Amino acid sequence: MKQDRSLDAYKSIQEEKKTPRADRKLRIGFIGTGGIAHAHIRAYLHMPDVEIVAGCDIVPGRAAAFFKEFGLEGVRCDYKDHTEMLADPSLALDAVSICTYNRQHAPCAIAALKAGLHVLLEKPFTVTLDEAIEVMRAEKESGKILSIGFQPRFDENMKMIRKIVQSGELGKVYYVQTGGGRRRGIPANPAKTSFIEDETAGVGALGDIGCYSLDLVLHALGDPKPLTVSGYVSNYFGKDPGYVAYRGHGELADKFGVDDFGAGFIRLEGDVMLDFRISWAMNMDTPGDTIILGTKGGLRIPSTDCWNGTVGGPMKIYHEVDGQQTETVVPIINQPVNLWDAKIRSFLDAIIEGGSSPVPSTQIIYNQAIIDGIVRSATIGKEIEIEIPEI
Amino acid sequence: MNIDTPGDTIILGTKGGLRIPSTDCWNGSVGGPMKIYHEVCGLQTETVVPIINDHGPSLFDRKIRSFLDACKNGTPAPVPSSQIIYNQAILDGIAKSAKVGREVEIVIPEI
Ligand SMILES: NC(=O)c1ccc[n+]([C@@H]2O[C@H](COP(=O)([O-])OP(=O)(O)OC[C@H]3O[C@@H](n4cnc5c(N)ncnc54)[C@H](O)[C@@H]3O)[C@@H](O)[C@H]2O)c1
Repeated sequence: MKQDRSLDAYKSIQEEKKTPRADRKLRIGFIGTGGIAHAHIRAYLHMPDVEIVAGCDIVPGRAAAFFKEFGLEGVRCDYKDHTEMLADPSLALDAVSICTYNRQHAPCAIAALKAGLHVLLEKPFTVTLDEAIEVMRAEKESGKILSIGFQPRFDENMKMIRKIVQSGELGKVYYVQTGGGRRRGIPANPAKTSFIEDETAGVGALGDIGCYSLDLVLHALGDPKPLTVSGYVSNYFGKDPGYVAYRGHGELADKFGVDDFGAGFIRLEGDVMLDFRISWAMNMDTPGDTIILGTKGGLRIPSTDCWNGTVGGPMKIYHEVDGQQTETVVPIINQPVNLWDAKIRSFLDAIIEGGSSPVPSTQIIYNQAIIDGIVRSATIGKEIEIEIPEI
Repeated sequence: MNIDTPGDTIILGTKGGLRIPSTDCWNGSVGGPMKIYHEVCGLQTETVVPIINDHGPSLFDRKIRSFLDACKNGTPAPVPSSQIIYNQAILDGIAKSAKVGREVEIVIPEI
């Protein structure tokens, strides 16, 4: 971690504003046209230098209905899956947004990179660490941009957390507590089970919302490598047919094949301990605020109802002024930024300028390693070591 | 540390969750009313467990009295080593684990 760096160093990051180049339109395709594809397409439609040319979904008719919803009748979408779409040279695609459920992140990302396309991949990166490594190998071979869909990275309050830590304001950070989640909030109903079935989701609360809390603190700390993980997962609510939010649809409990609660104790490079817990359902309002303890100051970030990559209220720095214990309130920055536009724009700009990935796999691999480590450690009931091979 | 508290004590169960408010220094006293988070007929409810105002002898008097009574009457230790050994094992384990930078297993021999 860089200590004692002036906050001024970050002003430039905030100010960068790019004008889209409309001389050539980037040709965009969609893999998966379910829920979150809607947020992607709305943002693309705000971009003057984009042409949405194709899309596919393994559910017949879903892609056609999706594009019709946005009045885009000319988009090619008569493909049975991503393989067929990627094999169509007439599309001349530049890039794809991958909006499939978690289990279909790695196969689609690898296929798209191998087809020579830039990839915006939804979070979580993948389900397992091995899959993420395979995606990174394909990324390296292709030389294309791979950006992972963490839109909170573009939130000014999130950036402020990173600035506070990186400025040295807290001194040497040694302990971090993060996470949160919901009291009753398993994302499932009879019409949508892709978040709770093992075959589609592969990982539950950990991957759905846990990845956000992890990204918040990891990125603030300068993306340190996780070394060991002691993890725990459970599914008491998801597997309960009487779970109140199933509203009588007890069959959802049979389909439930992932975690509804996860926790981990993670040693990070640089002698930092990370204490993390995340919940889709628990008998509690919140497991507590995110706190970052340093030798010079401590930061408290209030937990929100659902920890989803937003800062719920003013933060506080606990520190000494002239030997006196003081608390400094860091007010919420009211930002006009549309996070989805910023996420899509950053991806497009990286393509146009041949720049580096805005949310690179080299950072998010650590997020994935922790999620994977928690699941593996929980399975064997012991701490595991994290090994990431040279890619 | 540079923070007021690292958080309340929470105990999560399948039927309910208990929140015990953290005090300034967690020293064996309950700082305020506790709360149980649970469902009543499918509704999310919070039940406040009020602080019990205890007007009896001081905790130290009770600690000494219970010890004396056990000595006099030949009854079991009021706070037995067979329980506190686990407490000690955790403290010892934290120190050892922090030193070696990985998890340690706790082995307590038959006594
Ligand atoms: N960034 C965010 O804020 C955010 C929010 C919600 C979801 N997500 C992520 O987006 C992903 C999708 O979530 P969702 O709510 O849209 O799920 P969803 O189930 O509604 O949509 C996924 C779609 O992908 C299709 N699909 C699966 N495999 C395919 C393949 N090989 N080729 C073509 N189509 C395929 C499915 O048929 C489905 O229509 C998840 O990984 C989730 O974590 C991100």
